Amino acid sequence: MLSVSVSGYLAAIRWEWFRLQRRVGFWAVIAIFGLAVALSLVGAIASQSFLPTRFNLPAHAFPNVVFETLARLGPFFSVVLAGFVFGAEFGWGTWRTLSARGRGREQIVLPKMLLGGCVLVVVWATAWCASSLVGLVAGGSSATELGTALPGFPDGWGATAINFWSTLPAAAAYLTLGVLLCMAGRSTAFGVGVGIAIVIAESAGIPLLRALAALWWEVDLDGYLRWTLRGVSDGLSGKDELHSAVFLPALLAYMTVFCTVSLWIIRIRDLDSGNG
Amino acid sequence: MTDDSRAASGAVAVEVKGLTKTFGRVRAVDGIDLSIPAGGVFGVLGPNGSGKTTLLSMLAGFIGPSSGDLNLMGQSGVAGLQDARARMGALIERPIFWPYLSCRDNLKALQGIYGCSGGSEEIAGMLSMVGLDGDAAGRKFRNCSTGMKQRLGIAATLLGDPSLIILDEPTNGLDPAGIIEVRELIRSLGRSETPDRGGSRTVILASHLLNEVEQVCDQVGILDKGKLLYSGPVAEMGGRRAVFVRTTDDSQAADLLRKAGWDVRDDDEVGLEVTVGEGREWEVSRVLAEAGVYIAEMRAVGGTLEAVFLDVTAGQETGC
Repeated sequence: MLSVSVSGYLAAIRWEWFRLQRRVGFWAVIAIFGLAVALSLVGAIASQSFLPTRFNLPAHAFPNVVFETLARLGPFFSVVLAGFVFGAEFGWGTWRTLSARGRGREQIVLPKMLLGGCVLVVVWATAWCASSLVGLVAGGSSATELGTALPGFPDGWGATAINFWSTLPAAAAYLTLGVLLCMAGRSTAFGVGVGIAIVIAESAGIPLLRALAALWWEVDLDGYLRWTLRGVSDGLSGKDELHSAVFLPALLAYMTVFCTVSLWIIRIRDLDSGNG
Repeated sequence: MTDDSRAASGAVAVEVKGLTKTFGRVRAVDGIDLSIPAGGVFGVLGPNGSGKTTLLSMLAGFIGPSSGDLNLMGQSGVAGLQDARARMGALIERPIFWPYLSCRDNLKALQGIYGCSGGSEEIAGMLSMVGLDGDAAGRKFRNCSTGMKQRLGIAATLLGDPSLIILDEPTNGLDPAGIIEVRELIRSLGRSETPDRGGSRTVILASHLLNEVEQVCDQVGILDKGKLLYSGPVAEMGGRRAVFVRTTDDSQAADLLRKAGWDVRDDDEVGLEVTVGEGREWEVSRVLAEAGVYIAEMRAVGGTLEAVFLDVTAGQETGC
């Protein structure tokens, strides 16, 4: 299955990127995501100036502000990215083009997944660098300033980094979910549409379900709902009382299952010629 | 390699046994046994829906057979077929490319993806060969005409100098000059050798146009309703029983000839193909002249597909 050399996979990733970087829509999504990150930083800067009690947020608080944005929007970004990298090939029929000349289906899917992962890493790294830079310029210089006392802010760069980067595996898990949905539905519209619906349902519906269950039936659903994809990703970033070491294997298990099923689907299915 | 030496070598490019593909209750390909010799052009002839595209899609690996054995260039099994398909170029159903890329970038991407080593010179050569050089090379695929897309599809199949080329109705959408060029190209490909391996190249051409197969192919397999009706030399597949007629009023001529009981095909848009009995071609001119429709051109052509089917099936029924 993995008979192709590492150089073969690297070349495949290169040519995936060759095509992805020429898509205007891809850059539009990156721009929207970047705008959301920028706005959160602007908001943090503004909060220092316009609050009645003027204070300086510590520098490391700025990446933490961005972390909140990434945690909320990251799953949406990942699902849309999956649509760009995987789903669109169904509509164009280019799965056939890619699988010509005896290329195994895994030789197509794995480089695409790796490219998706690389894009996430680059986007996250850019957001980290940008927010850290803004923090160093606009934030307070001391960790003892008022910002550290505010609830929810980590007490140093190390804790901030853990928070920030914990959203990356969570985003990767949603990327694999998006891939699975695109593969199962053979379309971008299905994959992205259902993926976004799942993200919204998890974000909004699950807390509602939890509250209703507790209120009406006096049942505590926490134990169950914690193991949804969202629950696991929140748990990884320290929003749950369980240690993150429990959540990381769970997230990896989700990703492994999603990737394996996606690969299985594309291997057993006939490839049609798309719809133009 | 000459035709004689090819035949003498006995090498087989494609061999299928009991190949079947079902879609639900429909048997698109129904237990086909077929052997395609290496070298030359092999035609797969049949009307729309006869199973040509499904058969070729199975050869290319786009769809999996429901049952049966497949051997490509002497190789079988998953790994063997994958290796053989690495030396196969295929244009099946329609040209499929990334719509937002230019013709040149599409070929560049495919060259990289397939691991072909020809570089930009190979791409320029391919584009030039199919008439897509100059401004056309930079045009985005989504903005190309049907003919340009078809030409790009043919260029893509030739990347990396494959040993086996599969072309599914490659002249669709081409203008008459383009059709002639492509047919000539296919003929020359079938006569050429693969330089890096010294072997003969095989071209499989699927078509529903009998005259195209007659002009281009050495051997032919005739499909209908998923079954192989005939496989063998083109020259032996059926009688020449049709005339091509171009008149002062093709529409009226078609009506007149149909009323006279002849089978008339007018899907070529530049004339009529009339199936006639042996030695009765003169009756066509008489019927038309009596009605005041005059013939501008009349020549014998290969029999219609239906006529060939009749010949083939009649041969099967009588055990010939």
